[in-house]
Amino acid sequence: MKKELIKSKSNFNNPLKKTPFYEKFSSQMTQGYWYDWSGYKAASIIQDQELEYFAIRSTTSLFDISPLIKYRIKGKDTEKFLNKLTVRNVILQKNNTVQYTLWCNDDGHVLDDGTLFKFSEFDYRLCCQERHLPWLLDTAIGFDIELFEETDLVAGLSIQGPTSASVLNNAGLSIINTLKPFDFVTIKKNILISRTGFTGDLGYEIFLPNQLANNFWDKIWEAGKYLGIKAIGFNALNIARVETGFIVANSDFITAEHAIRNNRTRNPDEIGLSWMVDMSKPFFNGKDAIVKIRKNNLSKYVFAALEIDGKEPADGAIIYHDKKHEVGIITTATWSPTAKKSIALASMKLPYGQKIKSNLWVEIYALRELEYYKMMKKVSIVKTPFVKLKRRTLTPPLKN
Amino acid sequence: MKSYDVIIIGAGHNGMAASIKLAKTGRKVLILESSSEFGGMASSNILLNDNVNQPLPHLINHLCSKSIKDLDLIKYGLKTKNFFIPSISVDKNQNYISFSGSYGSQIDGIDSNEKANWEKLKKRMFFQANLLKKFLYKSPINRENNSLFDKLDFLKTGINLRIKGREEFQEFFRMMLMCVADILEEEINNDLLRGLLAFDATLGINLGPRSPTSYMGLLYRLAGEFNGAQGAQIFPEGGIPKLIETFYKSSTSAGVEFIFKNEAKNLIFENNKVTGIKTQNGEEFFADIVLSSVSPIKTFFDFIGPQRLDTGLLREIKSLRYKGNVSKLNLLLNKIPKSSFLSNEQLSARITYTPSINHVEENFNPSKYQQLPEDPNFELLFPSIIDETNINDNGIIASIIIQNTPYSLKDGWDSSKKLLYSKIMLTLEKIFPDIKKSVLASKLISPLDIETIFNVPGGHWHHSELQIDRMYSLRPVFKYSSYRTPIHGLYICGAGTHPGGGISGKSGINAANQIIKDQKQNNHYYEKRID
Repeated sequence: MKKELIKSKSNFNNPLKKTPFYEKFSSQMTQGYWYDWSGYKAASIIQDQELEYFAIRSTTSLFDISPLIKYRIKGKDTEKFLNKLTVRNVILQKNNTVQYTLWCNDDGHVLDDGTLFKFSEFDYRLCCQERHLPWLLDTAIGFDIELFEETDLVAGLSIQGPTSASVLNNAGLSIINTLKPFDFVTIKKNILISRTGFTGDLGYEIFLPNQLANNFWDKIWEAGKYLGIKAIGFNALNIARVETGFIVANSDFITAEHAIRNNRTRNPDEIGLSWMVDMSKPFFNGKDAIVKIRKNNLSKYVFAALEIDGKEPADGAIIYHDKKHEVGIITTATWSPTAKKSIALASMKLPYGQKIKSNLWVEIYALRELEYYKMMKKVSIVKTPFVKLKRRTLTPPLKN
Repeated sequence: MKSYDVIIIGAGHNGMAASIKLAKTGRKVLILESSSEFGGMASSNILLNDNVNQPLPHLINHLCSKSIKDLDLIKYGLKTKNFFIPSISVDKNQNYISFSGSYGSQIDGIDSNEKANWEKLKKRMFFQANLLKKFLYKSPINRENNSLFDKLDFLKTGINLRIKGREEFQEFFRMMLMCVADILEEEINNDLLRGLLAFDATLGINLGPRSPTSYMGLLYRLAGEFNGAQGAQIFPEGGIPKLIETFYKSSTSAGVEFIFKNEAKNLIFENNKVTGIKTQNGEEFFADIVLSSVSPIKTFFDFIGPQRLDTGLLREIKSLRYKGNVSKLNLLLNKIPKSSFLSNEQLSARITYTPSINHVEENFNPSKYQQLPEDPNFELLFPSIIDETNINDNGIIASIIIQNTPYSLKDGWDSSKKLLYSKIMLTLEKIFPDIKKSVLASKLISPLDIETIFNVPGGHWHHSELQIDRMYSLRPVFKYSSYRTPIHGLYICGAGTHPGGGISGKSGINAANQIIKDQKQNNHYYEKRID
């Protein structure tokens, strides 16, 4: 007991953990932009944000996704359990596919979103941003399943970009040519390759045992030598994901367990994910609440994708109707190098963003050499994705 | 296919109370009972020998006049002649005080100074209990039941409190969450009197007199009434079995059907709506409304099942404290025992072995560590001495309730029973020197036995702890304090719901009212409801 206490205490003082790919990324790092991703040291920028972004859109990018929280769920009642936990129906999911999903608390407020890898009806992996073990274990009461966290055991590498399929082919992984989006395949040595990603581009994610990480990297790097392969940090990825219209928990909405203030929690309808909720399931966590929310129109917010006049980034800006009334806030904004527009994701107060879509403005404060420039820019509500790429879904994939 | 309007699980007095209310509105009601008797935890199926039995409870103090009227109990045999039972607090050195009337309106064995102290404290306690009384028997106000009319009670209570003056106002909020020991030590000096009040405040819950909020236990008791007599403890004529019989008679006369020895096993539900019950022997009974009067632990875990509960709710139900700590000892004696210091008349009192606050606290301490107390506190009643109609030829019954005997014991109950029995006998012999020789039969029922005999998880007298964090609209949990559940058409009543244990019938009546109200407002009420 005492020993454990000392150990846990020293964990608190320890530096951030290093992922199995840490040496590979840090050896290229020129900027020193690290951040804390779930207790791991993760890169924001490796060398240059713009070049890294263009690796995603023009060649191939490598991004370390090892810090993703991963849970393994196995056993007789796995599907029953997941159908209680998540809002989608996992029985409809095919083996060897990935499903984007989310889960709610009793009040129908979103706890997190994540991806669910189905190996078989008795074996799934759940990947997400936040740690949820207590919630998962309590949800598992009454189900015959085995549930454990494998974050530290499995390394992850995201390979994204138009030449990514060619890189993998060069590395001898031609097996990926038959993968459609959201398919995955497990090859020898327990290496999992899925056609998924957070970029809206052609791309793959690899999950593999930690000890294989170094060799795998070398193999991929070698294969991509003449295909513009580049190690990237989160900032570049973040631009790509906004262009695609993907939301990030605790950035574009506050998860129910993080929210301190009552009105900060969001139900799936309020973050644009109502399509996920399968009301034909007899039961799932939060269903009763969502039924009531929908019946009584209790949703107060709506998710919106915005295009903003001009080129100033509008991060955190307040949205106004008629330049007077506050009607929402921009959660993430960026200049889209591909769409060549200033784009943003926003949370708007109903009926604005749904019934009232015109005469909307954002107030941007641009700080230029210690002086603020205050601008009122017109915004228009558009549909996601801001950037739609045919190569994302093309099967067999585009090769160079 | 057998169809009813309402199926009630469990023929406890609350189940029967609900059935009376519902059947009187013309609804076709069925009560399913797993045992062969009605009465639930107050049924008399604890045999002492082949001919004699004595139920768990022996006194009542929560049957209000409105319930008696609502349930037609007088029409079906509830006698108006009831016995107000005084209390006598004794120690091992033949000291005692006697405490009678409606909670100590007369008191013997203390000097006049102390009497004045007691009067002052009593006045204040009754004032506070009266404020709470408004809330004790009504359905809790919560997110669903919060009309202006409902809220008016809060306003009235606030005004009543305020017009009493600043001192009473402040005292109310100061005392509310205190431990009973501090209040008693502030106000009165007599150890036996303090001991008795400390015992009354903590009997049936897992608190000692020095635990914060234990004063609430005393207020809960004082807020109770029997047919208008507030704070009184009553032995109904004919005893508890007779009282329970009036519930049964009223229920059957209202047209309620009873099926015994057929345990409800599974709920049948479709699309989140209850449609019936499947019993242990495979029979199916159908109804739009099912009312479960069993422990909420059982209702939520066995009938609904953890798979069908939202995880947050599951956590809350899982965290309910439902391990009982009260044991019952029934003795059959061959003659009326002779006390070395109490008169024969005094044997028709409730005799409590409660020497002091510290003694009660010391009793509580080992229970925290799953151990039996060294020198257990208990209350003793001789039902057949109190009420001549209760006498039987087989002997004299002594009904003893023992405090602080936890459900889980380190040494296990099998080996501990004998020890507990001998400890009680040791104390009894100080009061009745010859009692040991006159014991014809004895039965000690531990919380573990209560669990088995009465099908109550944890064997708790209140189904789950009746402390301030689980009272009123927090009972059993906030979201379902309106006697509803997440399954449409499934309702709950019983000790695990407001107002808790004791024979009051109130949770049954409240649940029935809720059902009637829900069905009247809208047949699809649930789909409209917001919570």
